[in-house]
Amino acid sequence: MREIEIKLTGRSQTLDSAFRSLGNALAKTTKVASVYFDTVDHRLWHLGLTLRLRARDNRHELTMKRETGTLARGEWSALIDEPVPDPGALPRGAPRAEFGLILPEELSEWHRTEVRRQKKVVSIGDATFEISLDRGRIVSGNRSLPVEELEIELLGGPEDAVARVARSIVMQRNVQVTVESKAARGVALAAGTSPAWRKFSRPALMPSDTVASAFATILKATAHQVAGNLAASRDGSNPKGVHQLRVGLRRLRSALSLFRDHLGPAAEGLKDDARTALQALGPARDLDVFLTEMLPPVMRAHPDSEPLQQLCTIAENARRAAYVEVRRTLSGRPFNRMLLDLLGAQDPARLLADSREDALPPVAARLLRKGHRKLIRTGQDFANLPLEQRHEVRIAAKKLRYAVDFMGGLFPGDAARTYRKGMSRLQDDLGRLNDAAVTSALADQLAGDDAQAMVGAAIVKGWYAHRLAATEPEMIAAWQAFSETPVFWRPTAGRPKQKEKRQ
Amino acid sequence: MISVLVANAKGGCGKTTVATNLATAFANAGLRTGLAEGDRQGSSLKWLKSRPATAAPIEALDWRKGRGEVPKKLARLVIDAGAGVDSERVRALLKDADMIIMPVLPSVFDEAATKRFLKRVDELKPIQKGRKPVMVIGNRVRPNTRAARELDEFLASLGHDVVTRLTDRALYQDVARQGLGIFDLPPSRRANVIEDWLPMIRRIEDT
Repeated sequence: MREIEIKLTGRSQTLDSAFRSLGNALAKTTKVASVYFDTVDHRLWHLGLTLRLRARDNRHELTMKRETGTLARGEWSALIDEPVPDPGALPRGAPRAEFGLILPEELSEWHRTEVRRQKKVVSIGDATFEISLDRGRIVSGNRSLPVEELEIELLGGPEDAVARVARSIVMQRNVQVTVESKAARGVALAAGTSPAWRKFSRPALMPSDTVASAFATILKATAHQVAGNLAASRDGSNPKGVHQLRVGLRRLRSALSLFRDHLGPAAEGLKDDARTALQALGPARDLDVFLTEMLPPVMRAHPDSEPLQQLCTIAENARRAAYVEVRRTLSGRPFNRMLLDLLGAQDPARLLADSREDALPPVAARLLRKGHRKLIRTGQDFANLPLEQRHEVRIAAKKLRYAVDFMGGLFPGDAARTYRKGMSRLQDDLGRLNDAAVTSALADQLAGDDAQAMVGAAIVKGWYAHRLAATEPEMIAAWQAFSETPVFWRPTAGRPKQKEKRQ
Repeated sequence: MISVLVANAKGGCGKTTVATNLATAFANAGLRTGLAEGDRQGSSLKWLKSRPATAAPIEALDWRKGRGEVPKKLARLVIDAGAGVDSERVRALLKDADMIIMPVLPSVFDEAATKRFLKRVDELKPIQKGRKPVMVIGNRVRPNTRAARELDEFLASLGHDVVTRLTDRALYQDVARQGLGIFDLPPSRRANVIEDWLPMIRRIEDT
């Protein structure tokens, strides 16, 4: 059976009472100290691997783990006599093809965790769990981070039982779902960097996939992106965190829309939750873009402008407030409940109502064709479209882009690449259009009735109105080029219809 | 698979020492390792025969009469080219190799032969085009001696840097006699020599 576990974090007392409320079994307490090793250039970490050493029964346990940032992880352990971190001692099956030869002499301690672990096995309903409460710290040199984690692992029973138990805790107490491992936190602590952000990785779908298996894979990929950016979003020092988190949520909504015809009622709730979160995170993203991308070129051109400086100060304060809201949202009950639905659902395809076993390629071709037609229809007579309608085009393009990202891999070949390229160019231009619109509105809103800042806002708006006018021909050309790009999907496998058309 | 060809026209420059020790490094890392013997004297094969059954396994490949089969699942292959190889043979063996490691002694008597060999190797197409690197290793070097400095200068004049220098130590003989290499020893017992090997190992692994 796969390892299914969910980890919650929160205040020490809250976790403690949650732990005690789960079954009456007697808890066993142990002290666990783990030392994490890597090369000077963090070679293992860059490969997504960690190596740790732990004392165990008068011997030492050497463990390599794969850090995929999800709930299921690869793990290889060996008991050894000397506390030497030698990857050569790991059992067969360790991913040697990836890390090759690393000598123990190349490895040194980067950080260690010191944790007091309470553990018990409990039965709740039709399932058995191992529940651990970890409290302690992660140490690197003279820096440290607290550890407060409640972990629920399924020992036996239905796969969604863990999510069910976690959900009941989330609904009753102020706790948060977390996927960040102690190792990942330790690496950031040791390196003195902010938590890592994560890009979307395109799911590898196969022509042999069914609608159900494809939907599960796609949902899992979006879940990775959402969960993988939580820590970076809370931290806020890199704008990529909130950005990628929002992209993940949008992709999730997009996947739910895409498969709309196949989905049951449970999916609607998830979609609404994702929208609520997106809206709550929106201001932080808008202000990040404003302060890091839109304002700097204007300020460089007007280095001594006090009105711009004033606008900038107001924006910075607003951003701080927006990030307080980000953290509040991410700690809140609705968001964590959604996260559990998304992560804890070991079978996301349960959201599907029908056509579960239909073969994917024809469905994918139909969905892509639908998205493509909608985009072409929305953008008809693009050169003469008013601004609002071009925003509609932008949204249709974005939805199609996500669909192409999800399922484009099913249709290999140059046509897909050309299509994607054309889309990407169009999206860049439409994105600029949106950025300009958002920036202008935001500048006004930030300035409020501050006379000096209003002048600053006028400068910003003028700047982007001018730039937009200058890029207008480019945008029209991008649309023209895209609308003439041949599509790459085929209604049935083995019949290269589009190719014939092109010849 | 990563495959390493250990070659120099000159005999007695430590090809077998380098080849066997490299093989133990790979084998102890849990990588399936082969050691191909191209030397008529068969010193690598003899060493393998004396290797204790408890040591990390290394597969013997007898290439004394020419290139043989390479087992499919090997992760690392070390080829001991043997003494007196000419550029034709190097060219043939290079087909199976990702790089050449060339041990050189700090001795003026070796300079002419090394120069000739290196010149011919440099003319081979994969080397010339930079597809396969040549790593020169100073062997049996006594650090901070005039001979060591002269070796560096000599090699620099040929357009090659010394990737690493293996210090002259009795340990190599001691372990070889037992069919072992230094990487079969626990880290505490190879502490004096490990720094010599790390640059070469990193270059091989990062290729």
